[in-house]
Amino acid sequence: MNKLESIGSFFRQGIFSYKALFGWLDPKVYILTKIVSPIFQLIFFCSLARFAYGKADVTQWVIGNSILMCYLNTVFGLGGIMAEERNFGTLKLIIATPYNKFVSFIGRSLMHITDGISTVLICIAAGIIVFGADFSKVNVALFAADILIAVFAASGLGMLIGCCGLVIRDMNLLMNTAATTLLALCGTNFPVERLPLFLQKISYCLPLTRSIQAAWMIAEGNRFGAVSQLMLQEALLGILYMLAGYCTLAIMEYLSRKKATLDIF
Amino acid sequence: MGEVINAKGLIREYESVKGMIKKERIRIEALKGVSFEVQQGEIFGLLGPNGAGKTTTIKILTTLLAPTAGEAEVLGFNVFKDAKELRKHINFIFGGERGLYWRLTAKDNLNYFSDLYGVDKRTRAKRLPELLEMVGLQDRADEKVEAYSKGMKQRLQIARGLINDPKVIFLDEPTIGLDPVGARDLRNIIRMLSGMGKTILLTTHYMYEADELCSRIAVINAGEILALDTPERLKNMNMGLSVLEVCLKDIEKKDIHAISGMDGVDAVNLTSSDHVSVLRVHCAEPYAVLQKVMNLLRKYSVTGLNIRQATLEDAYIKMVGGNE
Ligand SMILES: Nc1ncnc2c1ncn2[C@@H]1O[C@H](COP(=O)(O)OP(=O)(O)OP(=O)(O)O)[C@@H](O)[C@H]1O
Ligand SMILES: [Mg+2]
Repeated sequence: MNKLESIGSFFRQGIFSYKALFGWLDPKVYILTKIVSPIFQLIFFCSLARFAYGKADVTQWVIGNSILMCYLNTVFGLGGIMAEERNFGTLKLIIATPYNKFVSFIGRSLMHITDGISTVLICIAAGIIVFGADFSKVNVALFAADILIAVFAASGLGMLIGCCGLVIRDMNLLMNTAATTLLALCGTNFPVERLPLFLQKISYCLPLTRSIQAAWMIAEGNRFGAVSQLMLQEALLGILYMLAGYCTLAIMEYLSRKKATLDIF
Repeated sequence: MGEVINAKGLIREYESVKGMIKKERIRIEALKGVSFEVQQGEIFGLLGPNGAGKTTTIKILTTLLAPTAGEAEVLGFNVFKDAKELRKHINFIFGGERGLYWRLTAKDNLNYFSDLYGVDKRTRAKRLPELLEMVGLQDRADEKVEAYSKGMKQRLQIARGLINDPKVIFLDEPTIGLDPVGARDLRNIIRMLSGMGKTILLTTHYMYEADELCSRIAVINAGEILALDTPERLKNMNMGLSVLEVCLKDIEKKDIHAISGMDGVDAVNLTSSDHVSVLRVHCAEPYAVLQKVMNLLRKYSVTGLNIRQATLEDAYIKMVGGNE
């Protein structure tokens, strides 16, 4: 295979695997899980905020909850890949190919990043329509870059979780924990500075916390200079998660062969 | 090149947990020191009852499982340490419907695995249609796999297993679930592959299949190889060439012993199902013992009598034991 073909096959295998594994590609299921349910979650938290804080302008909550919604792809989509493969009986086939498993994982994450961004945008649109969220001062390019980095960093977390799926059977437990942790600690609905100190520390180890803060600042009209540090840190965090995922995958592959976990149920 | 597979004293233990509250760890020794060699171009069979350790052996040889002790080389690569390099040159097919992406079409399944095996575009353009035709799916290649019958899925698995043009192919019960014609087609494919110089290791529960295909067979039971030889020699091992088969309702243990003690009788075994028991008397000259055996069985109601040549199945049942 030459270089060009390898690049083509890198993207293609990502798309194939995405098509193969995710039931939500069925239009009905897609609309329900990726559009209707996130919008209702958004409506719930924004209404709650309006009620609790007595504010008319809930732009902050629209932004936070919209970005948070990428966990559907990043945590549940990427995190569940290995478990899904095992259900199909294809995990051992994938492992037995010479393809670099981590590269394949990254190829798969691209589809989820794209899909995750679309969910974020749908939620923001819904926020504008339902709550009249105010984006008049926003620098669109900067805001878009922030969302991209947010979803990328969250994918790092998802990949780290996903790699554990080679050995761990009950992935839902892990994925649900990650999702609720993000919901509680990212500062979307409860300000990070009001959390107990040790939880604040955790907040800043999680993806999304920084990009949500940056997104708020961008919505208030701040330029790149003001948010660059937050965005760079977030990107770095994403890379760290991916590296951790890479190491975890290597360890898990070793363990899976030692412990015979490639096709247990 | 001679030796393609070389397994030396393979041992594999599994650990599993029993009980919910009072957890008890149990260790199962699935392989207790399995050694064998397979030459290039050979079709090598692994026969044995359920739980004998056949799949475990295949998993170790296909790099999916680490042996607890012992070593194995395939094509000169250590199956544990050189897994990455070895994976390019081998492939495997596990029988059954799983191991495919049901939401993709047959073509896309094959395309996907071509990507994972790094098959280039030109080779792929030629190989994919060839494989689809070989397994008879060329007309339905654009349908999603979920709409396939069990046998069609099985045949697609076979095409998948050949996608990287492997030098060594491992087949774990490949004809399970195929109709007689499909199974015969697959046996022809296996022979054709072997003719192309590929080395094949297969497991099966169908004796005639093993007899028909394999150049050598290892009979494995409870993690140990009991015998390893050509089908011909296995059939003749420790016994005469014929079998006297008697169908009856029931038989007392002492009479079985009496028959096995007779002159000219090599071995006796009994397989029983709900309504009928079959007593098999292995002997070199069936007509010499027939009279004596029938005399002894006069008090039972004998419903059938048959004298035939020993098959591989007889040898197999003798080795691993019937359900006496
Ligand atoms: N993942 C596992 N965990 C625990 N025990 C296992 C595991 N896999 C296999 N075993 C045990 O190892 C033994 C050998 O199993 P194996 O699957 O190799 O048998 P087999 O010869 O392929 O049988 P069959 O003809 O039924 O396919 C069995 O006792 C089985 O229970
Ligand atoms: Mg088996």
